Amino acid sequence: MGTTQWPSMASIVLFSALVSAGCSDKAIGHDEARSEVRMALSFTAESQLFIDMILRDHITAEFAEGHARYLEEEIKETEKQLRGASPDPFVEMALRDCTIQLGLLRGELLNIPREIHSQRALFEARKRVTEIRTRLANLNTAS
Amino acid sequence: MKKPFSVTLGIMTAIGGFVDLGQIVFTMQSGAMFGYKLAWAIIIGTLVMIPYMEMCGRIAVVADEPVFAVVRTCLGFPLGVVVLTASNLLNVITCAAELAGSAIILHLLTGWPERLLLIGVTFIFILILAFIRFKWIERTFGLFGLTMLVFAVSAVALHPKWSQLARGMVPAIPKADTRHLLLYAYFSVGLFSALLTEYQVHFYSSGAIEEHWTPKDLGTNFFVASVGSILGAVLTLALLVLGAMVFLPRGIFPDIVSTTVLAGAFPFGQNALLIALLGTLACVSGASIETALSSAYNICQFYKLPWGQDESFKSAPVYTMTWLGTFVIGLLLAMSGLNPLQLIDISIIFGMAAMPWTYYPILRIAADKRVMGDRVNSRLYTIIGAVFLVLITVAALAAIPLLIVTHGGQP
Repeated sequence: MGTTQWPSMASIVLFSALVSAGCSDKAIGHDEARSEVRMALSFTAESQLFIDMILRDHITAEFAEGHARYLEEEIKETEKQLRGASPDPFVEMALRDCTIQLGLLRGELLNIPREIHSQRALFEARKRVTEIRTRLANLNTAS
Repeated sequence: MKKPFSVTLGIMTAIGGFVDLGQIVFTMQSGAMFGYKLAWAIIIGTLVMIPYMEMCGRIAVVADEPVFAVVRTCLGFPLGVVVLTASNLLNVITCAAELAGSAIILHLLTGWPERLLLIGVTFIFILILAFIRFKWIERTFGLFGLTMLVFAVSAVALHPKWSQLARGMVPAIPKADTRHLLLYAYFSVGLFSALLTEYQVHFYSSGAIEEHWTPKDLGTNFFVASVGSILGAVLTLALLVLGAMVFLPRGIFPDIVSTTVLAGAFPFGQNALLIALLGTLACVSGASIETALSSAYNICQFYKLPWGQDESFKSAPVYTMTWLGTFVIGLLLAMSGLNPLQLIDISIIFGMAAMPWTYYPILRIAADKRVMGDRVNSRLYTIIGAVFLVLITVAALAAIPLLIVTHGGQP
């Protein structure tokens, strides 16, 4: 019995350790802060691509609704991690701004499925997402 | 008629094994970070896969021994149990991720509630395995998986720089800082590993026995192993190209399934999006079925119990209960809300660590004249297999440290 049980236990312990390593409150230094801002920039670029494809009528309503939700959940998860993190003092402000911009981006994404048939609303949303991206790009340069 | 249909085993194996949920996202992330520079990892992975897939098919036909019987023969019972436990743990994790992926794709197609779809799709897979014979499962998913070719069409329609892609097929170390070099190594190992998932060799060798291949089919075995692997490689390269062309210039690091599907339909309209969704569904549902079956094959072959899709529940109860159990545990894991991509990234890297223990016994038996008779490996073939085994071992040793130092490949 012992022979058959230890490998599975060892695997589970190691697996849990690795999973939790990525989930616990993490200390954020300069490199980690840049990495978080880069992810936030990636989210804004994804949102721009998403809006562009709706404008080109390349996306079905069901896909738009689902994709907006998945993207929004992913951003929410990042926001949660940033809020629970312990940043170094010199990157604290940048990360706080980054979290604010992510919150704004989430707000835009939540509205997109409702605006799918309004070109004007989508153009406006795209403009606002571009502004969020610009602010994040400035943070990236500053951090 | 047997030969054209036999190729569907290779296609299903490759579609479900090469191009599963993790591979789709991982490959696009590699393209989004490094452009075409990691194409060589796909080429080497394919070059390794073809002979090993051929060898495990040949062993199945000549020695009538599927992979896990070989593992027990070569490694002995105690070490064999370790490999069996690790393989089946990875199968359950992968199955959970693929079930969740199937529900996500169906949700994007229909807009129906995802949890309901998750339960529904698991139930449908259970019905498929309970009532449909192996050859029809393999043919249906093999042919359905060809819809994935829309990703290759999209990649070509974007006019990639072929010369750069060709340069990327030659291994090279980029000039970059330590952090980027570590990320480059992590994605190289991950791409290589995702092409060599254990469950696809277990599935393929068991499939050859399920299909009642005989020594007359050895030519077909080589053809099927090559065509299946090359198709998988072409699709994987297409995913890399899409990552490089759609995401890299925009600064996107694709981290969710729906973003990667968007790339598959990028140059075209809604119909292409629907085909891309169906292609992805074929891959992830094929992988769910492969992993569930692989768990059942592994246990029954290791303990020499009756197994096979053509067996009834009464004649092969452990076989049936194992694939059923894999689906049920997979469903519970998927319902618990764990991120399917996080699960699958970890299964890819852990799979790499366990990989030498799957591939070494295949090489050893295929090179053993007492078992294989005149179908034994030639000396050159064994040397090539041994060189590839060294590559697999090096990647296996590097996999977990790289996962930790790169925080799971975070850019």
